Amino acid sequence: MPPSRPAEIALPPPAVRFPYAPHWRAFDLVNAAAERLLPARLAPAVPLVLLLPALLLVTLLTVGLLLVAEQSFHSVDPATFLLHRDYTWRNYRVLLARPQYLEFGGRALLAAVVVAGLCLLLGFPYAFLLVRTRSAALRKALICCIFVPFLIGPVVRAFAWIVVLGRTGLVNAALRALGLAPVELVYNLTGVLIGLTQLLLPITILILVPAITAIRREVEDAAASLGAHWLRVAWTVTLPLAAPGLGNGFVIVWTLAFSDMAIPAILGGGRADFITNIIQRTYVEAGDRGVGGALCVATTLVTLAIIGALFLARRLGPAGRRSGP
Amino acid sequence: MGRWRGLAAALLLLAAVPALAEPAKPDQLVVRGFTGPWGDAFEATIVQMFTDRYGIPVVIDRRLDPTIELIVEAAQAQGRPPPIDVSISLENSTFREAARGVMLDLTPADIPNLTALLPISHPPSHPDSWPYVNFAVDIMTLVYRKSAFPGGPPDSLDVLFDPRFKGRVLYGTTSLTTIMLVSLARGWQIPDDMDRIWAFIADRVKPLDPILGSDPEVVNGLERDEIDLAFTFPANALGLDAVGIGWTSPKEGMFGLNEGLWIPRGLPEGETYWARKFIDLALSRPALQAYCTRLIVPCFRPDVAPPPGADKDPYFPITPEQFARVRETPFAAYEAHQLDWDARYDAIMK
Repeated sequence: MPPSRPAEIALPPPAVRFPYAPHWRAFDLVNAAAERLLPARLAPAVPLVLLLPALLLVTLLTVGLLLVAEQSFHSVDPATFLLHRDYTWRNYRVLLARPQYLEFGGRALLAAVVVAGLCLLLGFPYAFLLVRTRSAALRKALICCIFVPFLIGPVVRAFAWIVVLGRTGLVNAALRALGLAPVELVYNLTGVLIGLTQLLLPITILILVPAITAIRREVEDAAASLGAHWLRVAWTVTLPLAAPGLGNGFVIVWTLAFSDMAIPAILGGGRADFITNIIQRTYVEAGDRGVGGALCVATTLVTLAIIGALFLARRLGPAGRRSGP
Repeated sequence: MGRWRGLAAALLLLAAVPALAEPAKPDQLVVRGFTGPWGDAFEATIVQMFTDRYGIPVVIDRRLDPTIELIVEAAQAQGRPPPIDVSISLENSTFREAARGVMLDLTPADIPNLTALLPISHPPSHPDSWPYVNFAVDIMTLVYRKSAFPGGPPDSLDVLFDPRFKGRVLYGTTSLTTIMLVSLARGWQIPDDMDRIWAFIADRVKPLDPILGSDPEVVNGLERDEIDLAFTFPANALGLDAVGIGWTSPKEGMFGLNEGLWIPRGLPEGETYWARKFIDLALSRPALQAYCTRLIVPCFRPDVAPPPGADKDPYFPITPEQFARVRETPFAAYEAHQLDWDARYDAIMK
């Protein structure tokens, strides 16, 4: 007699049938095409290929800057308002002969430092709350509050600040209602600082959020469990660990504030012009691409030098030495 | 019968020749225009009339004159058609653009209405040609808040230097309007008296701590009660009567800045034809009447009637004597020294 076959276990029918979804088939086709176009042996080149669009953009930007720099070595013919063909250092001599350019640049530099500092001071607690809160509703509300300003352009926001901060604005109306004297909050450097801080605060928060997310909550809990007050935890644990993010945020916000033109033009009332406003007037309104180009080159070199110095200082500082080469 | 039919056919053919000679209409005509009340008036009158008559839509390019200058120049240098077909510009820009050689010469043969304008419409820097045509003048005069002058409108530019209005007066962000204002108020000449003008700006204007800005800041400042005075175009105060803003003609006189029209070189033949048609229509009596009435600006066509009430308007020049009180903006001197003067102005005021 043949050996009896073991009794087949009757399996129940599958509860749900999973047909092969059409989009899975589409992905299979894409994968097959990708494997033909980019075989596995070429996989290490993929990051380079993905970088190509960014490289193209940076190349175009660099070429534009080089063209501006080339123009800075030609002076404008006063009869035709066209650039002379000959190369000259005249435009750079003009820059050195006018100390007010240094003053505008210095003002922009210091204002940008103040704005970056304010943004970090206001942005860090906001970012910390956004990351650490256990309430999903609160997190969503905080995220919405960051993104809503991006829906409104900076020029519109600047004019809105005039409505709020102006002589007859909301702030001064409230001060008058309290029996206090009105204050000049717009058409001066104060208005520019307020406008730039409001413009760049959401960006600061977005930069700080990943830096704070990378700090494990358990580290803070461990410090607290050892008896550290929350302020001490923040000062000795959270802030040092967030320092790289704070540094990056400072550099980015400083650069954006230093190079802004619209806010100083609208909220400064001509009393708080940045070097960018001078560049715009020289290049566009006066039509002097020579001196305008020289201002652009000088400003770019100063900015690069400052950013380079900041990164070098961070590298050579205690945190940089701890993180190694 | 056949003879008459032949004659009728010949007459019809003759009538159709101009239409047949006309190039095909472009899909659109791009005209660089102003912003603010000037842009609105331009669009509502001249632009609309052109579209209604010829059926060609007009797209307004609101980029600033200095921006368009560079773009047109770059396009011509690269052998590309410029991005605009016609531009309306103030004379400090048209003077510079004419010197750059970016403009197409206008001729009475192509634009018959050129001959209907006053001699003042001819560009002073080009006596033998028409790189551009001036057709109206924007007067700069004293715009003021009525509540600051309960005794009646101010009659002198000296109010703009009155310490009483410290922080409540607006000056230009570049040097041109302030230089013009001081020279007019003191009876000094540009550029011969520049040292005195600079000394006056440092001693009398700077201590006023004025707001520095252009047209948007003037309108905003007047509307929001940030300023009481400005030396500017009355068009900036159009519609602000409700907040008690008025304008007046000071005894020292006023400055005028001409508005002009020009066509860039390098356009395709068809677009050049229709660009000329645009300018010819813009210089016609109905178009200038509508434009200048709406904007309340004097125009350079003698058969255009002044706007209603203009004879009672203290700033509006109608008679030759009134026009003589309007000094021409010294754009030739300013363009030659703009960078130096603006830098000196920045050093004093900012």
